[in-house]
Amino acid sequence: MSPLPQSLPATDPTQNPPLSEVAAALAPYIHTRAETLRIRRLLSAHLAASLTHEESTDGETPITHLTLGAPPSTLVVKRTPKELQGGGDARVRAAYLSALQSHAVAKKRYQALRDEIEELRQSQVVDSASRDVNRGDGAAEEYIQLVKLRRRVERTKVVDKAVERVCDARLVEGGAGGIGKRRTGVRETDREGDVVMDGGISRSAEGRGRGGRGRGGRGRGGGINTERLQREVLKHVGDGARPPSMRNITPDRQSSLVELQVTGWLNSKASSNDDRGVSSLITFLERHATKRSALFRQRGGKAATGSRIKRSRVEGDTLHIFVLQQEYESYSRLNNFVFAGKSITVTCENPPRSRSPHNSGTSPEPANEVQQLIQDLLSRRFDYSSKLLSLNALGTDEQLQEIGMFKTPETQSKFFLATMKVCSAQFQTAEEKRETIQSVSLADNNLPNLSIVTSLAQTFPDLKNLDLSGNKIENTSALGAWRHKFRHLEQLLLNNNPIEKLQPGWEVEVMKWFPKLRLLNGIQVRTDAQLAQMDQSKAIPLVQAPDFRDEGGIVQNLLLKFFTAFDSDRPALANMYYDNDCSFSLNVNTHALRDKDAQEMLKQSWDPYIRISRNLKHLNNPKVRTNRKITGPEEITKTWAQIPATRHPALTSEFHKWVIECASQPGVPDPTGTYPQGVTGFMVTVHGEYEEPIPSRQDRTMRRSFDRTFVLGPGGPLKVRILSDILTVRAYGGSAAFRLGLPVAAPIIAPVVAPAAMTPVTEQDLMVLELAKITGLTLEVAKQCLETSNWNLHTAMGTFETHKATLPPTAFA
Amino acid sequence: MAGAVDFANIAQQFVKFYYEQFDTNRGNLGALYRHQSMLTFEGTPAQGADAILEKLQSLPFTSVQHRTDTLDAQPSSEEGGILVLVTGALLVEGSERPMSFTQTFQLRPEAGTFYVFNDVFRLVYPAA
Repeated sequence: MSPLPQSLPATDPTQNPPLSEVAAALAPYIHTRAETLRIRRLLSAHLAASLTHEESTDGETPITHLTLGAPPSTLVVKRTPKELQGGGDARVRAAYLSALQSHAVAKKRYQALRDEIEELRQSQVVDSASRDVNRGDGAAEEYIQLVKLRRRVERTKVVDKAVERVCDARLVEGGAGGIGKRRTGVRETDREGDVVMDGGISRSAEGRGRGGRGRGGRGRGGGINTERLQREVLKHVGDGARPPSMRNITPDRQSSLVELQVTGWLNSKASSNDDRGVSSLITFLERHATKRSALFRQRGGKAATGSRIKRSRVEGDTLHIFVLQQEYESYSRLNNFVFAGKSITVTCENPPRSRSPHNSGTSPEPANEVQQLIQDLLSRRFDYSSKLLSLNALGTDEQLQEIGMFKTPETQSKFFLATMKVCSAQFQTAEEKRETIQSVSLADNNLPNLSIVTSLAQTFPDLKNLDLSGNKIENTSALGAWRHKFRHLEQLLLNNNPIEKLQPGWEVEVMKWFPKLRLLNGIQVRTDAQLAQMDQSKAIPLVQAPDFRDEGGIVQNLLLKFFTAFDSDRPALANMYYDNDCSFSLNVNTHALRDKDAQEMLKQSWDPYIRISRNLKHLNNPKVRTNRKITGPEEITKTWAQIPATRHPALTSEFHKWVIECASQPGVPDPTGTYPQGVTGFMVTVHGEYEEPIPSRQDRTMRRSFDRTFVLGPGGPLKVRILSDILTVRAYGGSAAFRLGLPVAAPIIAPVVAPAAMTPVTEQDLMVLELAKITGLTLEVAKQCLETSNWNLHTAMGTFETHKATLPPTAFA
Repeated sequence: MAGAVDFANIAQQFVKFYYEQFDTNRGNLGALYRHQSMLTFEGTPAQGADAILEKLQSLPFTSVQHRTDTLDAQPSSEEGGILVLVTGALLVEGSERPMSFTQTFQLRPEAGTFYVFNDVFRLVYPAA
C-alpha cells in the first residue's frame, strides 16, 4: 500500500537509456508527490468509512492506513464496501470479508469464554489451596476437580446412609426427633468441602473415646443429643473422606461397611451385666479381630490401629455389627470362638467379594476360602519382631490338613504358590517386603527338592536367612533351582538333611552359589574381610595398565597428531593418513552403560551417527554393509563431515581419560610391492572420550565415550597410513575403569610405553615430523639433522640438501 | 584386498561362536588360538594358545554372560585377515551390575578357516 517514490532523480542510473524500458513499464505506478498525497487521503477516508472500533471511538487510535499496520483488537469491519457487491472476484472478496468478520466475532467469544474459564479456575485454585496441586497443568487440574466432585458425591452418599442408619439405630432404642437438625449439619459439612472433611477425620479420632464409638450411649439412657449425633455423622464422613491411597483413587468398597451377625452369646457368663454382656462381647470381638488382622499392619513400627466395630445393634438374640469391609475377614474368623464360656457364631448374610487390592484384576486369584486360610496361616506364622516367616512343618498344620492341602504334590505346590502370592500382595514395594520379611523357615517339610517351594526365590529374592533343616534333600542338585538366587543370603541351615552324609563337600558348592553367605549350618564360612575383598575383586576384575608396544614412536607420533587433527581439520587428516586402500567405518552402541553421575544422562541423540552406523549385528543388507564401509580419503572426508564436531581431551595432559593399546601386526599391505606377503604394522586400540556440541543448546557440550581400533601400515605421505579405522561411539561411561588400573604396574614383557609415559608433544616434535615429511627421512634421522642444525628448520633443510647424496638408504623411511 | 571373502559374515559367525563358548565352556576357546596368537586381557598379555587358555580359565569368575551390542569388521591384511571390533556388556557371577567391555580381534585365515591372531579385551565401564 505504501506509495512508490513519485519519480526518480534524473541522475539516477535507472533513468539512463539502458533501463528506460523498465521505467516505461513502471510509469503507471509512479506518481507525483501531490498525487501520492491525494491517494493516501482517499485511502484513509475509505478505511475510516469501512472500519470502526467495536465500542465508542473516543480516545481510540484513529483509523488510517498508517495505524492499520498493527490493527487493534477492537477493530471491526463496519460494512462490506459497495464496490465488492458486484460479481466474480468481487463476490469472493466480499465472502472473504464476511468470513473475516465472523472470525473476529468467534475470536471475541473465544476470548470471553477463556477469560471466564480462567476466572473459574482461579477461584477453584483458591478453593483447593489446601491441597498440594500442581497448578501448571490445566488438564490435570480439571481431572482433579472431577475426582474431587466424584469423591464428594461418594461422601454425600456415605453421609446419607450413615444418617439413615444412625437414625434407625436411635429410633430402635427409643429416641426421637432431631432429624431436621442433623440434616442441616450434614449439608453444612458437605458445602464446606475438603477442609472440613479433613477436620472430620480428626474430630472422629477424638470421638474414638468410649463415648463416640457408636455404642457409647448404650446403657446410659438413649436421649438423643444433636452434638453427639453430629459427631456420629462426622465420624462416618471421616471414614468416607479418608484420602484414597495412590493406587485406589475412587473411594470404593474399602470404605463401605459390612454387616455381620453374632449369635450364641446370650447366655454367656457376661450376660448378667447391665447390657446383657453386649459391650464386653464387642470388646472381645474387637480384640480378637485386631489380632487376626495385625500381621502386616504392624509393619513399619506403627502400632495396630485396631479393628473397630463401627456400629452395632441388638435384635433379639442377634448382635448386628458393622465393620469396615477390609476388616470383614478378621471378624468372620471369629466364628466358633468361645466368649465367656459360650461358643459364638459369626455369620454374614452378604459377604463382600474377596479382597485383594494388590492383585491385578486379570490374574487368577486363589479361591476366597483358600485365601482366607492363607492369610490366617500367615498371621499365625509371622513374627514381626524377628522378621521371620515360619512356614515350617506345614504338613502338620491342622487347619491345612483339614482342607486336604497336603494330599498331593500338586496341591502342595499350588498352595505354596498361592501363599507366596498372598504374601507379595501385602507389600506395596520390594523395599517394604525386604524390610519386613528377612527370614523364612521351611524346616521339617519333608522336601526332597525345591520343586514345591521354588517360588520363594521370586517372592523373597533378598532374603537374609533361610532355614531348610529337617527336610529330605539328598544332594546339591536338589537345590539347583536356587543356585545363584538369594544374592543377599547370609545364613543357610541345611541341618538334618541326607545331603550331610550323602554328598561330602556339599558345603563348598553351596557356598559358591550364595556370594554373601556367612553362616552355613551355623558355621562361619566367610569372614567380613573376605566378603569385602570379594566385593572388590568382583567389581573390577584385574584392571591393568595398557599394553603398548610401539616401535620408534611411530604409533605415538601418529596418535599425538591424530585426535587434534580430527577435532580441527578432518579433511587434512584424511588426506594425511588415508589413501585408497584405507577404510573407515563407525557404529553406535546405544545400549552402553552410562556414567550415572554425569549430566549426559539426560540427553542422548544419535541421529547424525545412526545414518552412517555400521553395526553388523543389526545391519543385514549386504549392500548397506558394503556402502557403510567407507574407503579412500575423499569418501572418508565426506563421511567425517557428517560426524558432529568433536573435542578430544589432550593425550598428554589428560592421559587418565585414555587407554591406548598397541600390538604389532604382521601381513599388512606393503604399498611398494616389495613384500607381497605384507609387512609388519600395528594394531592400535584406543578407548577415550570427547566433547560434542549439543545442537539445541549453543555453547553447551556433551561427552561421549568411544572405542576406536586402527591398523597401521607403511605408506602415504607421512610413511604411515591407517589401513583400517573402526570407531564405536557410545554414551559417556566415564573413565573410572581406566583410572583404577593405573596404580597396578603393568607386567613387562616387551618395552612398554603407557600413555602416561608419552612425552608431551613439543615444537621440536612437530619440527621433526615436518622435516621428515618434506625430506622423506626417518623420524630418527630427521631429529639428528635438526639437532645438528640447532633446531632451525630452515638450516636443517640446508643441512639435508648438503648431505643428501651421502646419506645411506636406511636414513629414509 | 581379498574382496571375495565375505568378511562381515565370517566376523558375525565368529563373534557368535566366541561368546557362546566363553559363556558356556571357556575351555573350548583354546581351539581358536595358535602359538603365535596374542591375547591382551585388561593390559595383561599372554602369547600362545596354551598361555591364552590358561589366562582365560584363571579369570576370577566361574560364570559370565556376554551381551554384544555392536559388531563391526573390516578386511585388514594382505592374506585376508579380518579386523573385528565388538562392544557390549558382561555380567560376572556374583555381581549384579553389568560392565561394558570392548574387544578387538584380528582374525587370520588358515587353511580355509580362521584363527585369532590378536585379541585385545578391555573393560571400559566398571560395575559401580
